[in-house]
Amino acid sequence: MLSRIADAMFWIGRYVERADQTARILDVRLQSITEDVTDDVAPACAAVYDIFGMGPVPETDLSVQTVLDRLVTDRGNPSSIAGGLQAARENARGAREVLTTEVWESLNTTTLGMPHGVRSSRMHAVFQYAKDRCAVVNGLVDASMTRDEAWLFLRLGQLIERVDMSARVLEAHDHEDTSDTTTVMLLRSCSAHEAYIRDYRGQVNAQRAIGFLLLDSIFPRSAAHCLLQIDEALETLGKLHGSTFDRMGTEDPARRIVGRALASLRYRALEDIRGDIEQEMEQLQKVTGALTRALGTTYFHPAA
Amino acid sequence: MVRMSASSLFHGIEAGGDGDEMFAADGSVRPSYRSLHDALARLGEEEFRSRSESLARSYLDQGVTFDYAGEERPFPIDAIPRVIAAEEWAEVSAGISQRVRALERFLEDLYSGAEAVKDGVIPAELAGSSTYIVDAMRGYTPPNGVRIHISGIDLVRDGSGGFRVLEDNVRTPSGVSYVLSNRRAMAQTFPELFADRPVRSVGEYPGRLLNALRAAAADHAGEEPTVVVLTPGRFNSAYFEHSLLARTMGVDLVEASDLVERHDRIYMRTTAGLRRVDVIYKRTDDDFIDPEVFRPDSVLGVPGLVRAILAHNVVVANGIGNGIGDDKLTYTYVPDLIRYYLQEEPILRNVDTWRLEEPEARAEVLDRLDELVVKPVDGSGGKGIVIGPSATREELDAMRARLQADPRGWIAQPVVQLSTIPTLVEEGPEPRHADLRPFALNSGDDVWVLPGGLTRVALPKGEMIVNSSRGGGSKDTWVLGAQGPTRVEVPTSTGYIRVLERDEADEPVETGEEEPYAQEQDQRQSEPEPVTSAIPLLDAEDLAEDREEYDPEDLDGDVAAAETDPHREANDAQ
Repeated sequence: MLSRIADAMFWIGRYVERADQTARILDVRLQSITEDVTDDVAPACAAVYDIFGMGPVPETDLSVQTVLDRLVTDRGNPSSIAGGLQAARENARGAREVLTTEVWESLNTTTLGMPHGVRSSRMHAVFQYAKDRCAVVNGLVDASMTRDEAWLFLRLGQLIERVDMSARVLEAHDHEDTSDTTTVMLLRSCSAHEAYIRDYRGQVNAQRAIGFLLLDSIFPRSAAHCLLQIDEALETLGKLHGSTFDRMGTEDPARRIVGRALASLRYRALEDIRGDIEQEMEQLQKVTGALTRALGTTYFHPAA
Repeated sequence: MVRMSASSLFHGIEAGGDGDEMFAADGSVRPSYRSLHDALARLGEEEFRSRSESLARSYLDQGVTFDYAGEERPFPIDAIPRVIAAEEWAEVSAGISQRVRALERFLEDLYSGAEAVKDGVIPAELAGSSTYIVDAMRGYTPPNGVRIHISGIDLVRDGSGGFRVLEDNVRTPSGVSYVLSNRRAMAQTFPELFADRPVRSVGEYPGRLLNALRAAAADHAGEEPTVVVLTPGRFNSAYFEHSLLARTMGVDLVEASDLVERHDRIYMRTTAGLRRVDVIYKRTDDDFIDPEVFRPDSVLGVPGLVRAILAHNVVVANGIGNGIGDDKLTYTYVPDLIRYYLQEEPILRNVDTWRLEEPEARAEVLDRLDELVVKPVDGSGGKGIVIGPSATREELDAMRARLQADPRGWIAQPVVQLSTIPTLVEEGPEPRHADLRPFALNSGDDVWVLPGGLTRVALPKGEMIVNSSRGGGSKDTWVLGAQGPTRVEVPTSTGYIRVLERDEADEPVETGEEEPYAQEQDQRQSEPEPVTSAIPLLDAEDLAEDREEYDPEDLDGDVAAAETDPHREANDAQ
């Protein structure tokens, strides 16, 4: 397929996932800020900006309303929900001939339906809208698209973004505070609370929560699960391109990056990772950057 | 008594209005419109309005838009279709086909020996003075001889009710995507209107277009030539159309940066390396298509494309250099060209036109400027047109000076009273002016005219310019199926009368339920490409030199804008 289209598919995957995750994180965080009257709003807002790499921001921006303006409805910011959807839609517009009509129309109406402004009293409805609509888009991708190259690139974008987002949430988390409330907030920010509770019979524990988010092999949002899926997608992609049997599984530079990261997370003691988790999560984000570049060199801008 | 059935829905339309296609001067409904009129009237005004709104919304949801002053807008569609009777369509179709065949011969002639000039059919100055003749293409003949693969010739109904040709578009006529989308949207929103009316289907177009493009490929391209659609990009006003055509044909939509020339061949950049391209349906203007030959500053072009064409390694549709066929001065000679090349009488007449380089004509036009329409010979999209009766004194004076300075640059026509069709506006259905652009495809064996075409309608009251850039909308265009064979008589210069008979009984008609893009599925059923075709077409040695020139910045283009990810630079800078 055309390199430019492959690139666009990858970014559709990333931006839809980013919008979805952003809605999930903000829903949890902002709700807790507005509920908790004893808490100081400004540092809590600063922590939210931090997750999205937007710090430091001026004092005047440290209000729930400004967070909503900048991270929900600002179409000029590709990391806001509306901006991410807009970017996904623009990429989709450039790749319409490979998307099914259903997927395109669903992305288009989702983007057009995002409000241009939102008050905190109505924010939950907007987050719900974004999450629901992203689920519809993903569902249509799942149900209507052939598992060809185009789908694989979209899927890779989605998985890489998911790892990146989890790493951001974990990095910004206050690991000093191991209270149940804070740990539950962490799990909920990653949409992992219910899955975790079922697994650990309701026992909330900070160390186990981090282990679950990083290593659980069957929870679809854990870093390890996503990395495994990325590796699988890369292998299929290699086969589609008719590369000869890669016996060692080490020929694709992207697969080497994934493999190393996965082994590093899985086969070190969890204590080791938790020892300097902020640094480790920073590294994990760099892995997603390196993966994106490796895909670029191999598929999006091959030297030809 | 027929007035009675013109229920409340059409109450706003006054009897005796001149030149309306649905209502005759006495207020009765014309036969071809009768069943549609009754079906619409049965819906009632409220239901009709609410469905019209859902029609508009469905366009926004589907992204059926055009770019207007940098903004993406839904293309306005009016819910009252235009109806054309089978017998009249047979005439239009034969006339369009005849005109395309004559223009093909004319282009072939101009780019080879220019016999028509030697024989005195057209003046040497026409060929010599047009900025549209592309010297680089002289002596070149495409593999199957076709230069006008796709055409869209604009017709209007004059005061007497007959169709006349307003202008020829043989470069990059656009609008066919709206023909396809209008039909799909109408069939979804107003399915009952199609019941009992044999409306001819428009869904064949993408398949026919693909066949015409494949037929254009050079023999060495093999059985399955690679066809692509070349778009200037997402910010082009017709991007929606480029995308729809690529999608419904099942071919790649490429931008100039996706194509590259190597050794006089054209390749596209894919995830598996370079892949050879055989036929390019270009939607970029000639001026921008190849910076080696045309504007050197163009970023929308493919350097070396013209060399590849001349080496017969790639075919571009429509042909580069077709602009002379669209020249409005050429237009005035087309009836003569039909007689000269085809030995036939024109089936469709031109609108009367004055050539300003002829002294008597110029004197008359200058004298009557306030009652005529003046058009630039190289204009499109309604640009530069001055309508005498609605122009100010200053505008007319300025126009007079420009005509005297550059008579070759302009033509003049009487104000044609375009026919009207009832169109839904605030106050209800009211008559609005409309034109018609039928689309024709030339595969080399046959010129096929899509039964339908784009009806554009001027939404402001009294407005005569229907272009979307001037706030125009469109209507679904219904060509009715014939009850029996149709018959068109074409007089020839030998006195013999050529009779064209067609039996359209087997032609597909719209059912109102059928998926109009059935063609799309048919294409899919053909043999899928083996995935191993992803092996690069060139050896690494071939590209050793080029590799050094490779600049990744070149590829990013405008897509990168949507992907800029400012706060994530930390990751990428690792």
